[in-house]
Amino acid sequence: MVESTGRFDQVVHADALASSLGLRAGLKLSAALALANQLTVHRRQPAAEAALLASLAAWAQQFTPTVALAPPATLLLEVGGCLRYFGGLSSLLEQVRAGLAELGHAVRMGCAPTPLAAQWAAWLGLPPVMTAGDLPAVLAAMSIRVLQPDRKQADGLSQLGINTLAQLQRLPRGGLNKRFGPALLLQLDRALGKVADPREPFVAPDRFERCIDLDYPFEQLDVFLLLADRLLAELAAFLSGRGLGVQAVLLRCKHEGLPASVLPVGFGVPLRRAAEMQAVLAERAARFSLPAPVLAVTLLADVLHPLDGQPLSLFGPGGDADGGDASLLLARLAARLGDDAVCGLVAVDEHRPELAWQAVQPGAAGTAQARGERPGWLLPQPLPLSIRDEQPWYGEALACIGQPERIESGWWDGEAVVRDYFQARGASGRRYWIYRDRVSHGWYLHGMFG
Amino acid sequence: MLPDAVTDLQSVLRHPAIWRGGALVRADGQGLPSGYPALDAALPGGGWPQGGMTELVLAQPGSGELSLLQPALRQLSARRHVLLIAPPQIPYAPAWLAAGVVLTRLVWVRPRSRDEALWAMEQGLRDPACGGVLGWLAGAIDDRACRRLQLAAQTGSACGFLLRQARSAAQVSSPLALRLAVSPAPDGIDVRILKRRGPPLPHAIRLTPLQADHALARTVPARSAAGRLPARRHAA
Repeated sequence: MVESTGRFDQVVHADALASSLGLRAGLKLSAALALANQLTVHRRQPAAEAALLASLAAWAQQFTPTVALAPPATLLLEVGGCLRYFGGLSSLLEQVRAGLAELGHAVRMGCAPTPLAAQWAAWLGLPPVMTAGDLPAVLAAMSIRVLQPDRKQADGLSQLGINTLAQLQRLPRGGLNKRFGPALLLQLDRALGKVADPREPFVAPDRFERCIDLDYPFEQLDVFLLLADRLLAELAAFLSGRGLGVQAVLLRCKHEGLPASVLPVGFGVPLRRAAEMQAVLAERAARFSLPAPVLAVTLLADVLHPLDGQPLSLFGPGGDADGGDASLLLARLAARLGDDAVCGLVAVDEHRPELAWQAVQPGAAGTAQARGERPGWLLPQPLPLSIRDEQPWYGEALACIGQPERIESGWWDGEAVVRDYFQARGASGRRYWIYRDRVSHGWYLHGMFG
Repeated sequence: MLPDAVTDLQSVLRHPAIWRGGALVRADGQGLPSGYPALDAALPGGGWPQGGMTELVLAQPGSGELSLLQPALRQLSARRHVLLIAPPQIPYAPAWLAAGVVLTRLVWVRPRSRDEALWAMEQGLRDPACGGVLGWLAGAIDDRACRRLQLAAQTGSACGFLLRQARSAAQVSSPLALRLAVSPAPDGIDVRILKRRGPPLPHAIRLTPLQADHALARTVPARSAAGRLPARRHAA
């Protein structure tokens, strides 16, 4: 891992194998290549790191409302108020560690009464410091390097023979301030809690956008699904920290030389669990193909819905046997079959039979009451019937039974209906709903009683 | 000695592992009452199998299948969702509403192909939020698909109905355990049990809709309702 420092590229991190070859942080890239010429060099991406830290901060808000960023790679969580809720410090730390491991991150944690001391404890891997009384002793043993002195300060301190904070504290403050500037001692005072250390709490954004950039383009849908699942897991983490859910997301694939292809995925209801979102995506992806190799995949969630504080069923969605939450099932069906292939039905207050029903979003309620006796099946278009022996004919002679129901309506909107409806029975015993148009005097079949 | 031997035999015969040729198989669970006592008596479990598939063979849409199923749909939609997958015509909302089906839990699914229809049926049957699935399938159906549907219905303990169109019941076959042929009759519906877990039933069962619809559940036709209004006012 290298980063550019202006004039040259500098190694910032080397893995175990590289370290065994003598590489270490701070080395120039050219020097490193001289030591080992088959290095795999990754360039550091500060923007991506900052975005990742922000998304982790949003995730961490599920543990405490007060989260502060300490770039480049530290998050500060104020946990004093929520220890009891999470069952003590060790249980909380375990939950944080497990949650981060699920997202594929390793973490080093420290705990202390002041933010700076906690940060240092985390760097040094020290056990938790619980009370302010223990703090001076713990700090005193720390190396001077936690203060992150610049090169000049570090040289000066080592010339004075100062290696630990205890040695620093024993020196007169006035002289230290003159030699090294006030910043060094201010840090120490903040860590000890003598001086206030205000931190700006992290405020999570109101939308979610994450992008995975790839070194090599891919064409396989499986790879796309894998990346999308990872993005959804991050989205789920973001949402759980904020107490929000998301009802629709957008996946955008960047291609070389082609406009980006977009895959919208709707869930029907606000969701938060990654597994549920992934199940819907898997169905939706069956109707999706990649037009060209993909360079980057972006997940966008623009509209977030509040989810906390709403009653969730005890056994999770769908587990409720009574009433039942079918929205996930319907979302899966709509994702695979298309949005217009899954609909609900309502009756509409309207005299004209073909307008007395409507296909709507599943679950939408109508207000109309039942009227008259209607057939269970309606033909999309009335079917003209031929006449045999002065009786309408549909595979068999249809004999009208009972009185006609006269429907005259719609003269005002150009779709006037002037009809006499009959129930008719054939020799087979089937019942039909037929009408006689009072303008053309023709017979039509409009429905069947099933 | 003899009376003792008879009671012994009877107690042995009551053992669940013993099945006699003349009796219906004890169903795994209580069936969903079909609304027609005559039919319930002929079905193993005393009704439509819950957690199983039923196949209905019809000559054409409108052969009495809705009158047959509506009492069951009324019960199913009161608690869970019901999917209509690839019905042959538009399910006419006012009529279904009048029959007491809860429309907000009725979902009309229009797949574009047979495979999609089978997939949607399986998904619906498997999901615990869905109590009933009615699927209309044209053409032959292979054993594997039938087994998948049956398994899915067991998983979700849903009532599955497979409706198939054929000129005669002999033209279609399937390995499903309960198969019925439905045909219209002058005063109701004729239901012939093609296959059940139990002895064959040679004659058709004649069901009249009045048998199912109690006076309270049945909607009043507009004409007769209009005719009765003055009489009510008079009585009041």
